[in-house]
Amino acid sequence: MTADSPVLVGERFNEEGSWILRQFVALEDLRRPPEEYVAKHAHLLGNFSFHLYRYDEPELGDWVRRVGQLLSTDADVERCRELYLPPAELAEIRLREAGEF
Amino acid sequence: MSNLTTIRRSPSNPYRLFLDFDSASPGGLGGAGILYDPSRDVISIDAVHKNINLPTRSTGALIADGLTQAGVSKPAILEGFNVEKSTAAALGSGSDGRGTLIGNMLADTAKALGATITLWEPIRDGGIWHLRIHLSHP
Repeated sequence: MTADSPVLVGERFNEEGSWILRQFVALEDLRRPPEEYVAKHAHLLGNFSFHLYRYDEPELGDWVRRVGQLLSTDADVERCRELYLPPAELAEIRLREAGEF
Repeated sequence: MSNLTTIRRSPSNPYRLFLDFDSASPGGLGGAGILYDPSRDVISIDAVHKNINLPTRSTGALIADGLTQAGVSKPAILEGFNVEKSTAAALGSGSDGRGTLIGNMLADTAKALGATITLWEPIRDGGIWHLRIHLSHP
């Protein structure tokens, strides 16, 4: 995800993450490709660390790690938006992007 | 007054909470993943998603409402873990976090808890950034 590995992560993320991820992400979104989730939600996320957890379900782990990877670069987020969002929705998201939480 | 936020506690970790913001404005979704470290009295927010139906600068009050319901309304430290890119860029340029998206969210949370911020502490962690605010309570 980044050139440098986080050092504070350690034991904190030695926890099975499926419970918290399933609270945070709606079931219908978990069924979408990670790229589509990022396209629709990146501008609404203030921080995101669930990709750093351990996942006993390989597919869920793969899904969230891909989301974390895509969120780490503006270029990937833009690519996802252009792939999944119609122009009107894309324009609206760009207006809201810098919005406060 | 009814609660704005619905809290859910992990069945396997009593210090792991999900704060559901959808109840504040149904259909707007949103929520926060919280980890409480009782040994250091730190509330760490490891993910947050806006409720899209609410005005800007609403999220801090929702977090504070959830923390109050959970019985952890007087933490020593609030932390945004792995902050979003604009906040990370500001911290990387020397900002202490004040006025950033995550800084404002943490400050709004502190205000809703009735706390005073005594220290802003950006933390570089490899290629990511965390932002902590230290609090005092009346």
